[in-house]
Amino acid sequence: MNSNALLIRALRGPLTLILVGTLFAIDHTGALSFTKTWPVIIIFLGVVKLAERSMAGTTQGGAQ
Amino acid sequence: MRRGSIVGPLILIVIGLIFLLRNFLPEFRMMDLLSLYWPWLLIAWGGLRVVEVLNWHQKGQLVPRGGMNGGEWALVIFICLFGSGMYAARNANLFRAGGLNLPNWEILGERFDFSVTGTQPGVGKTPRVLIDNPRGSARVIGVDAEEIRVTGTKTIRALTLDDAQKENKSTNFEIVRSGDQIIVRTNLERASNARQVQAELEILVPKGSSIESRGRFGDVDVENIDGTVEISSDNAGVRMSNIGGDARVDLRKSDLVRILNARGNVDIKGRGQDIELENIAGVAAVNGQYSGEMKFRNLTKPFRFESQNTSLRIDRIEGEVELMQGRLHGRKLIGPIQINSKSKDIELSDFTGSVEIDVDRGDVQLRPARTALGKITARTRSGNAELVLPAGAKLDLKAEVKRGHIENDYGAPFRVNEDGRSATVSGSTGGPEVRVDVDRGEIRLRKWTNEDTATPPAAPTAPARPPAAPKAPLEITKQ
Repeated sequence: MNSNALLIRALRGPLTLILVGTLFAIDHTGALSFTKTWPVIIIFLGVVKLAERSMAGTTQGGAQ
Repeated sequence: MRRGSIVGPLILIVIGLIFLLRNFLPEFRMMDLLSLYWPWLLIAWGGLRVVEVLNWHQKGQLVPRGGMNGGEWALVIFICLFGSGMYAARNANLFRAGGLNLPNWEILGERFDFSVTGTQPGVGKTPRVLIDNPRGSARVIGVDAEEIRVTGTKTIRALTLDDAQKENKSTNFEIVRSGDQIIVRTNLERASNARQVQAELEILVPKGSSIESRGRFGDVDVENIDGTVEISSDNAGVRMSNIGGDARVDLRKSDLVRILNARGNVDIKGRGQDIELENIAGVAAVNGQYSGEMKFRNLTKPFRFESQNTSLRIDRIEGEVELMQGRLHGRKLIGPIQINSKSKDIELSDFTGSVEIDVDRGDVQLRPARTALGKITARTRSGNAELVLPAGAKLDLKAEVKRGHIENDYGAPFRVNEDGRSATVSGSTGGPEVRVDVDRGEIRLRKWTNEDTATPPAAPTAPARPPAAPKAPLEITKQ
């Protein structure tokens, strides 16, 4: 596995955390309830997985 | 080997700072702030970790799989649960202004009841009575007698009966004469822990008494008193009925102020929720911030209401006025009427005399009585205005919309003149001046329909309604 895929995998956790925090913050403003917006997290995880796959597929591993 | 994350030490520093702030600044409301802004902690944490990961990656250090480990996720879930719980609790008003209000009244120690009795004979027919009960409710009833008689219960929370008895002794109930004043005093402030003691009193006084009550917490009921009644408290529901003199109420907080059948002036000040005034023969004035429903029925002298956003003057209320957040309904009113508000929908029906309305935002509906119209000036900066007139009404109308349009369902002799975005309607049948101004909205003119003519006389008049029972009847138990 190249280092870009590793980077994305490492960013997955913190980004999920930011997303969860944002959804709760939105919930507290009263605009959209977290009980409605939570599927966004699943979509996000799916997108990250996809990105990992496509990164793993590329042969060149530019670290920068 | 990579170094550990910077987040751990940062969390410790932040927690320390928060507690330090709380200890040194009494107005720093930690629970309030945390319950509102905890999601930002997650966002900040995530942001920090992103920077760290990028940094590690650039230096070619080993990056943790997934970016976060299991223990960190567990902490995140804990924060989410705790945070949403706190947020829900805050919205359910468990936290009051000023921080966490622990219900220590119920959870500490055991409850001991002591009976409270006292009599003061020979006070004459018209004594001045001062009731000084800091915590707990008081019910004052005027009777045909020349003595003051107090019964009630003092409730003390304590760990042992001994402690409770000591506390009971130090908060000795007394009735004392001081000049021409009789003071009924529970002395609860002398208790070593004042929050653990409260007294529920029932006080019978001569009908002609004047009453003054001071407290910090607890409802006050007053019935059948011919003198003046004055109540001040930090937090109380107040109910009065059949008051002969003036009634003055000054509260920092209240769920309800209800005054029925008062022959004198009524003056209510402070903050609270609901207000109900009915059958008031004197001048009535309400001043302050009230978030609930306000009902005013049958006020025979001028009435004045003043809050931050609304001011209201009505010469007489024969029917009723209902006032709440966002709307004002009035029925059977006698002018001059004056209403100023930032934001309210106003609906007046069956009124006579002059009317002056000025609202920033809100609809205005006016349905004057069939009898002679008074001078009317109504203005709303944003909202619709509707004027409902009986057939053959005598008036000199001039209405104008700056942006919007006018609908004339009344017909002749009123004529609509549209000019680009603005419009006017005018016409005269020879009567008082009626001016309606709308900056942005719509004006509608129409005749009374059957519905309009049927409702006002059919509605029952206010005085028929019997006074409702006090919300929380007092129970006197002796032990």
